[in-house]
Amino acid sequence: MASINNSNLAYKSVGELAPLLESGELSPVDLTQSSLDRIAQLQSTLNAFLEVWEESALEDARVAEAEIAAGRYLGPLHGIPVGLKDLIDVAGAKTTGGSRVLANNMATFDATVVAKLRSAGAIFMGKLNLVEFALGFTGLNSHTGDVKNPWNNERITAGSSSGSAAAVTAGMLPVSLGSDTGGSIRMPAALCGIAGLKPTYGRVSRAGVLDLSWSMDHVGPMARTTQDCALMMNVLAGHDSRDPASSAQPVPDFTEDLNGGLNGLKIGVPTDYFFDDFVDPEIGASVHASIELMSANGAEVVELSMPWVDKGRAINLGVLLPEAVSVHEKMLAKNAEQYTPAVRSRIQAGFNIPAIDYIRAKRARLWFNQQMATSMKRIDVLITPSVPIQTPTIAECTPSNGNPGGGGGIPMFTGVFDVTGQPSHSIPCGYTEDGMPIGMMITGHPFDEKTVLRVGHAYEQLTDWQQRPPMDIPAPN
Amino acid sequence: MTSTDTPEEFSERAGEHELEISTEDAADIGGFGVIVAAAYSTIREIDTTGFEPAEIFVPTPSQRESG
Repeated sequence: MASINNSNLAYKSVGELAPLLESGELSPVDLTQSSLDRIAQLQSTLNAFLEVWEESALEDARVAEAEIAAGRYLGPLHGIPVGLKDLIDVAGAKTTGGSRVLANNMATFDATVVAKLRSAGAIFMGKLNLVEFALGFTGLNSHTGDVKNPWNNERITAGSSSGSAAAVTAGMLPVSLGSDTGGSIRMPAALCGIAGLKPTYGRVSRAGVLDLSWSMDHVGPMARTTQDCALMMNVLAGHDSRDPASSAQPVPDFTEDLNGGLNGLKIGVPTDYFFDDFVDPEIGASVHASIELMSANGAEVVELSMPWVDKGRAINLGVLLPEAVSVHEKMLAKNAEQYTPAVRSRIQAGFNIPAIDYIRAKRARLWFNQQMATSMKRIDVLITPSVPIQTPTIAECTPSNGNPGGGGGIPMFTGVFDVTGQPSHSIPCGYTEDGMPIGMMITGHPFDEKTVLRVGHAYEQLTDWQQRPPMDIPAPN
Repeated sequence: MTSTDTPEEFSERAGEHELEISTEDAADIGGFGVIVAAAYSTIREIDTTGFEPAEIFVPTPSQRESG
């Protein structure tokens, strides 16, 4: 098989790499080695990985190389390096959840998403760092070490899929898997300047993935581009009898409408909450400029009054916390001292929530979903900022002495769409004056990821935000 | 939980629910406990009349083997 020596492989998307792999111009072994080299170059700086599987990755890459050479190309993920948030099971490997509690927790079976990626020929590069048990939004973890933002190493990545975001941003991997219960795919995607899709609840199986809050947990792709998220969804989506919440909805080709453009689409822009005074002016201005750009390129903009939408974050927390307590109750009773203090106190804050409050939150969730469905009757997607505040520093977000730490504004917008279970996608839409990425969130109707991805891809064709390399790390060797 | 619980009260009430939490840990909950209390306060203000969760009890399907 022919091979190319290309130091720029690090920032190539799956959409760019796949044709090279299929044609034999690029060897999966060379691509995997390039990924390993980039990981070796940056891991000590960014702390994105908890485990790197060099030996098995190269072996899998050699198998992929032979299969492709023999004419058995499996599709766009064949030979592509992929990273996994360490709450996703891989048979024979540890799933720690970023916690000392599960330090020796060996998985017996592949999670369904892992089995699907394996069947598609993906190369697993290792396990990625995260907030302990995914219960937090800053990306910090005092036991596994904080993940650094490749745009500025003193700032947070956000989380909980902190390693998944940093690894893709830095060019260690073209794609990774994250999970999202209050925004844990979209918040780090926004603050690190990449694309992250939270699919519709039930669209992607949670089987073999550690629970945080079972009625709101979503698994989804994080990637350099919207197209790559669509390619990942073509492999990940589908009904799974191992997940009781898995949907039987038909699965489309998620790439089918990517080039449909913006003509004929109605874009909803909320007049409440998402652009209120608490939103950082630079962030609000970037998203408004993006909306104007989409309008100038064929989209119809519709202003929406949503005076009830500020209740979403409270409902998100009100459902999440009792479910998280239920998940952790027995482990916490046995191993309280092994939890990080920050996560232990978050779980314990839910210990005395009365049953009636949880029921109230669940009823409020139905009420909220009805309001959202009614509001979105006349539009295809909703456009909002992903995160309302600028990226805080790690020091500002580190908890101490009963102080939960800063960054509390980070999940105010993303959690709304974990409550509704709608597909919601964050892509970069600009940079702040000090060079940190700004995220724009595109949210669609349930099971209409295709339109969300169509809008994201169309916007990316009009801008070059996602093509810029991060500033606070060295170029690939 | 209420935002007016002292760490001792919080720990004691957790124990009543067979959940273990030390008074030291209860004190550490601090600001996050206030955020949680505020979230439920917001939720209680919502009129949810008519919005009952659709999770209806479904009996586990029979696993009787033939023969």
